[in-house]
Amino acid sequence: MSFHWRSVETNDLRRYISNLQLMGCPDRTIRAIVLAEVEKLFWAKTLEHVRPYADPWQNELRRLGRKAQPQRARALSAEKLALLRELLGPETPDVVNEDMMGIFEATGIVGYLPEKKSKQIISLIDRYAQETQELRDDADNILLDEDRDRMAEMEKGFKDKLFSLLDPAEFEELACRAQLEAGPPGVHLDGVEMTGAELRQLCQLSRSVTDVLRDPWEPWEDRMRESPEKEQRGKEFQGKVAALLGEGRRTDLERAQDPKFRETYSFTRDHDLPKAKAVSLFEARLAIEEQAKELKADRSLSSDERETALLVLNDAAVQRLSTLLGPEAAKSYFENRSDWLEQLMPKKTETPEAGR
Amino acid sequence: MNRSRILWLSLGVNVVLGVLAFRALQPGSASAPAHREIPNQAGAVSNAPLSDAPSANPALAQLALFHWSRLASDNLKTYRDNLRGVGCPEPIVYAILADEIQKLFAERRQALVVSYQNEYWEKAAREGDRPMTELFTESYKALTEEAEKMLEELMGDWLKRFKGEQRIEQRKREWRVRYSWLPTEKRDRLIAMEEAFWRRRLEVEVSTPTGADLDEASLKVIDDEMERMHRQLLTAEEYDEFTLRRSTEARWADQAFAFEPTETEWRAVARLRNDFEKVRKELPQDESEETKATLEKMEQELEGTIAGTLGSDRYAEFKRGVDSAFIETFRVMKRHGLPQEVAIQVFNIRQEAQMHAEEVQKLAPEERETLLRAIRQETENTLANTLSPRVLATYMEYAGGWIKGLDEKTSEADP
Repeated sequence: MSFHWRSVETNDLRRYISNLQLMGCPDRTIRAIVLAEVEKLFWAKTLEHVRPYADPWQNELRRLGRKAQPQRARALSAEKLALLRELLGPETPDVVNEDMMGIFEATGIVGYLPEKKSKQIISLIDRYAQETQELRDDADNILLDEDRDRMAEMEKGFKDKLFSLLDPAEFEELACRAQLEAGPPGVHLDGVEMTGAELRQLCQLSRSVTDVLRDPWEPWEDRMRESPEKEQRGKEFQGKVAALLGEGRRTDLERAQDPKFRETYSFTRDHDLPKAKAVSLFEARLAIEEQAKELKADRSLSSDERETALLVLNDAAVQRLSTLLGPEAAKSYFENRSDWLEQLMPKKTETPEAGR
Repeated sequence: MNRSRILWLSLGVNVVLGVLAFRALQPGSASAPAHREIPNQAGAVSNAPLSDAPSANPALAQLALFHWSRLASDNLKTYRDNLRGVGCPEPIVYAILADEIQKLFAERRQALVVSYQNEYWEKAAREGDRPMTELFTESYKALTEEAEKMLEELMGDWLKRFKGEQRIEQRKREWRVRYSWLPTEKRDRLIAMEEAFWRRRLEVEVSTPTGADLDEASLKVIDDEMERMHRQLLTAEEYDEFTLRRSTEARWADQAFAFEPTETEWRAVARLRNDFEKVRKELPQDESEETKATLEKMEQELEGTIAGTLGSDRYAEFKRGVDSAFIETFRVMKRHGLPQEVAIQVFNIRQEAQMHAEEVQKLAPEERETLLRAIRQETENTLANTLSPRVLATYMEYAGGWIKGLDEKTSEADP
């Protein structure tokens, strides 16, 4: 071949593209080449920026330098996108490579939409999440009224665009999936059997407590901050969940709210044990704890008698749990999850707890 | 990490990070060998018309005659060799092949999306508390790894080397700033030396198969040698300064707000803390009560020595600067553009109120309750007189939780 790459490449990216087109290079390949070249260009730009020198005792100067970094990264990112759009067309999405893991994860959530629409949504959500994050960063996460107004504007703009892209049913589906991914607030569902339709309805209801699509970057502590109004909404939501699941699953739902059951359920799941085992294990634990409590409160026992009784209880508990779980799971349970059992045992100097 | 965060990592930041991660895989290092440079300016796009007819331009005519199909091949090794054969730079070869592999896997990925979507809610109901994205990406991971392996088979260690070169280039820029306290000539020699050592480390990384552990012994040999060379290159005084500046303890005042040490203070405390660390490392690495007691005593002594070095006022300023109660106050005031003095004033109001609340704890419940309510009322009034309503509202929202706690202490203290 007498052809050399030198004759196609040039410092002028538009001409480079035109040269590639002239030799019949497929559009998709041109896009891959342009992305690589633009990346190279901007890599050099990031290197150009050197943080100003600050001695280790110059706290304020260093903080300012650190604060400027993301701003500069954002400016460069915007500049890069503008260049890519100029080269590859205005339709070039913010997120240019749809095949990577992050995008694919997002596709998991919006994949119910037609392909083109799903890409538009990912791009929109990405931009919105970035904008709200930037606002929070700039405000040092302390939002003033004007920030909240700006946030509300952003939310409105975001939702307007979402509504223009999605019909109401599609929007509803996205909102429900967002709730699911964030975990329905204020209710645990471990071991509660549900149909897909019920779970979806539950996610829909949970939007009355916290709407994940509203402010994606709201810090968790803010989201969880108690207020009487929020508490009320939470109670109403829990009532609706109970009604949705009906009497038949009321016990399951109540049990799922107990951290001890959740811990037990997680263990049985990890060991591929059926839910019934989790329930039996949980009930056994409650019974053992109750017995230990009674022994500790029994003033008729001397300290030695109490200690002996607790040790007997412990042996019986170990026996009972081992039978319940089988040798392999029991071994793992006693190694990793039986702190509660150890805590039931007396310290030598322990006195009755009566009156507490 | 809460799941709401996880969601937005999926939908937001992960997208961005994913882009960055992928782009890190994209070619583009200024240091990559034998690549032509694109001018380092946004004007890499000309507005000149692109209407040159191939017939009028011999170079274009050559392009028109050479069709891309002579390079492309379904066999990716052939495609790669063809591109290399015409002098295509390695980053571009990489980008083209990565794209081809993505195309190959697109159908399988799509099938995965469809199967997942068809029973999204039913699957979610079966999975319980587990985020669906986690489930989804698990199945995707195997596919991604397969694609990465294919690319590695085609490109060998090129990517590792390329990314390593980028890291070194970035470090060189940082070193130039970090070592600017040294005379220029000495600084440049230090940078050249560090670069050489980092290249040796890179060779160890490149020669390690993907997924395998790095040969720590080889890395240690390199690091030890680098340390010896530092000592040889720098004077005793420079070396001392070099080690002090790069020690973790050099950042002792980093997290302090409204406190900026002087150079003398910084140096003195950094040395004290470094000395302390040296001794601490000599202690037995156990959890015994004896060790804990020794450590506690040493820490108290260290604090005492630091206080003596800084002087009581400056020490108090430093301690205030790292107090989370002060930091949250400082941030609120700064957000409103208020000087640090206001933050200090508000912090003092808080401390005083809490001190009074503590003092009345020993009183009888009724009297205590009355007094605590009075302290709270007075504190609220003082704050209202100190801050504008707007600032006060922000303060109450972000840093004022303690005020409510003033008279809540009553019930806690009851027997």
